[in-house]
Amino acid sequence: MMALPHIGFVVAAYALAALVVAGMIASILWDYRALSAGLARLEAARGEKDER
Amino acid sequence: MWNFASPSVFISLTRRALPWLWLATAVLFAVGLWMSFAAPLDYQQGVTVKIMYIHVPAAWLSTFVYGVMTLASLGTLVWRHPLADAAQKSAAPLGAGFTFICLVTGSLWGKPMWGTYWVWDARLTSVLVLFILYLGLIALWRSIEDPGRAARAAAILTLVGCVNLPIIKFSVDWWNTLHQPASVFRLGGPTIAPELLWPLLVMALAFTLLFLALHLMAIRNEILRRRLARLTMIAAAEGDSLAPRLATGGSRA
Repeated sequence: MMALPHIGFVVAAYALAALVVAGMIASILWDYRALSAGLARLEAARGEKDER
Repeated sequence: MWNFASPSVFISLTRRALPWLWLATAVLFAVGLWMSFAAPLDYQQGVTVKIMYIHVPAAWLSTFVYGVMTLASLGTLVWRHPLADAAQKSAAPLGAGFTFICLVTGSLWGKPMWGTYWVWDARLTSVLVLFILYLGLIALWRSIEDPGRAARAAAILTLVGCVNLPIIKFSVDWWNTLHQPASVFRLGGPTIAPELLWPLLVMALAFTLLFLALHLMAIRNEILRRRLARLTMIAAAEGDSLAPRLATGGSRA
């Protein structure tokens, strides 16, 4: 630990970067799932309407 | 060329390209991180030099993303292409993310090296202005309901804001800053030792591919959001009672 006195700053920097990147990936994936589900519901509803 | 800019063709191309892009990104990150931690410590900075391998690529990406948005803004204003709107809108949160990483990792490097987390130095301040610009653009997109009007307003603000890019780049030459001058892209070649430079370049490439993958996914989301909005309006016009409930699909306006 004495040889690496500033290791805490390095760990914090990498953890922060990983967190932000993970957040960006998760938010885009979550958005995609919500949009795909919305489109699927809309198409299913239109299909039901056409059958009637 | 214009065929590739058609939303349906874009979605189909994205579906095929994304798995390969993610694979290349993961491999480059694995190699880049391994090289970064295997690289020798700097004789002055010690272990804090490791922060450089994420700070510098994030800094490059913060201006690169804004450059992409500037080109997309020209596409919006000159050709009025909907894919240019989508590219510009979806890049802003990513640019904000990379700029945030750049600012915070820079602060975490500055404390042990400079003795302070922050100074109002020209480079740091101009990057902070860039971060605020990204937030302003995100807010602008969210505050105007009509996507066409929002795109034009955001495009104009983006073009105005691009004057900040040369300020960021040359701030270390024009003013007496605490931030060190360019050490990679400079006349006369890099001043960094190859043992430290190669991991940095691999990490920069990994970050760039990460941005490309995320940007393609975000543009695809934007196309789907517009398709959903259009179909919902058609359903509403046809008197579909399900339309209001369906319109809630998607998370970002």
